[in-house]
Amino acid sequence: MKKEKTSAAEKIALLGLLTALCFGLSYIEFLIPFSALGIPGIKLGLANICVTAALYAIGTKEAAAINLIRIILSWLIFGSFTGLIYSLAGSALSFAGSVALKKSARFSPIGVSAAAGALHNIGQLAAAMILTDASALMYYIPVLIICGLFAGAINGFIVSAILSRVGVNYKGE
Amino acid sequence: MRRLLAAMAASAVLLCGCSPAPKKYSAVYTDVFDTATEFAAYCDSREEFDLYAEALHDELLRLHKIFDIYDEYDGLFNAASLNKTKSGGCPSELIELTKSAVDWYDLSGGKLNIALGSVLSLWHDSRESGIPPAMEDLKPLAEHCDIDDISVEGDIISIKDPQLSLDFGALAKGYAAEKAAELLESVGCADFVLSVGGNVVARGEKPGGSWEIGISSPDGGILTTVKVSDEAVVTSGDYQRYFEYEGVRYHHIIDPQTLMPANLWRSVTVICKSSADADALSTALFCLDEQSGRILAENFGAEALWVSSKGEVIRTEGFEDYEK
Amino acid sequence: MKNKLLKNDFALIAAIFVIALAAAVFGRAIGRAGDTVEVRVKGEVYAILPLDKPAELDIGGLCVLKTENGEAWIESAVCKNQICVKHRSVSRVGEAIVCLPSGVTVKITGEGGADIVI
Repeated sequence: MKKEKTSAAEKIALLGLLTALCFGLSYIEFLIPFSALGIPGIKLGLANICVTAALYAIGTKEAAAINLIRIILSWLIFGSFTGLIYSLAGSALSFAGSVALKKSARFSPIGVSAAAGALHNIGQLAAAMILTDASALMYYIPVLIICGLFAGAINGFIVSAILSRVGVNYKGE
Repeated sequence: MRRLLAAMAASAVLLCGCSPAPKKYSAVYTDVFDTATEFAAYCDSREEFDLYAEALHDELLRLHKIFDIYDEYDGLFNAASLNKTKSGGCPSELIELTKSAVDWYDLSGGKLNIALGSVLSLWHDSRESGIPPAMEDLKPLAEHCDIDDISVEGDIISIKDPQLSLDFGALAKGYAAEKAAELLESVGCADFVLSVGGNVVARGEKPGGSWEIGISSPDGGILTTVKVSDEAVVTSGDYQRYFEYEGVRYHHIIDPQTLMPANLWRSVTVICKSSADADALSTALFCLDEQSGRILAENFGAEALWVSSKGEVIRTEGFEDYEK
Repeated sequence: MKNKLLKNDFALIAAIFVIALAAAVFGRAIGRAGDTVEVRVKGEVYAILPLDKPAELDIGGLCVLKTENGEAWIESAVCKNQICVKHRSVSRVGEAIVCLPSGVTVKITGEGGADIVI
């Protein structure tokens, strides 16, 4: 995926593949019983590996598209409508954060993904707080930030590994 | 990665606390020591808890009657009887607390005085009527507050001054909480938290850690939370019992030297091993300046937190260790 | 170059971690928002109300309790000293309002938080 001239067809195929992969990761995640931990909202966010990798390897618009399609697909297959809203809120915040941090060129995908993980959970919880009017949820924020941070860092680590293997340099723009 | 996951799970558990297996039960009483008493414990069944709660309530009622200065009870020579007759054979608890109160008078530099009964009773009436007492009414009463007029011999307490009366208000609740906690432990209740009008005694732990005691801010809300397992916590505050007259607040902690509500602090919180000491200390510290208070607290191995009249918060060094 | 990036990553992760911990400690210190309010009269549970919706409860003709936005307060009372009415609204687990003359206690309950507030 070096920055070579790619044809429109190639690009569409690539994006399709990545979206499928992304969706596959969402499904794997769906199978892991994280709810057993007893804390709602905790997950690895594996699909974000794909989104972040695309952000670095292809571009912002393309990564955003993959992300959005992934969320809608997950909603259609195993989600609820409120789940979709939470997911959108979390992803929007985390994606915006990722783009900004990547642009700064000060962080590797590990840092970008870790911050994105934390932001995702903040966005999700904020949406839940607004929708359910439950200010008691505020109490979960620190836990969710830390969990998102670690999960994001792990994902970021995987993204760096992928990027170095496909030969993408991630100094930023 | 596994380590990261473990760390993640650990922080999650740490921050959330665990869901307990034994259930938390609680009881509230409003008929002892003219205040609200709260009792909470983790027990396996409601029956077990009720057993403890009943034993506790009986013990508090018994102690309440002993230190009651308003009413007398059949077959009991209590504080009210003593104030009336000025001499008599008293229950051991009355003897014990009177002796300790005489020591506290010296320890607190006169700020804690059980002989202040007549002055306090005038203030008590004021709280009922909503009009503060006049200084010219208080002054003559203050002449009958000499702690040296009280003597204890064997099980007999005698008051030399016929116009002097005793008031255990500043000490009785903390002492009673201590006694009640001892009783609860003796009947097999190991993990509980008890508050007799803000005199908290904690024993053992709740599932997942120490007991958490919130300290109210004088202006409402919670100022801070302390974690204790075998300690007593008590707060004396100007917001607990008061009345307002022409825009001025008159609260219940009267400085024996000025005969007026002490106004150095808005609240003082004390943490130490003994609930009886904690109660006495919090009242004494409420009337003392910071320096004297610090020395007194240190002598008892107690930690303290002051909220000044300007709203400034001061702590002893060790107090912070309880706040984590 | 990459090392520098990793160093920045570490700083970023550490900073977020510290902020989260500080938020947790602060959240703990000022107490946890409650879910319900437990009303007792002379020690007996009289009612348990959720805090999330506005409600008004006449407690046996002794006091009137109001709840709204996660807070509870005594709106009016028949007692003489009116201390319970002057009491600030309560919202944190363990916080309580006591009306001694009528034996009414109003206490915030919920998951976690302080066991007793003094």
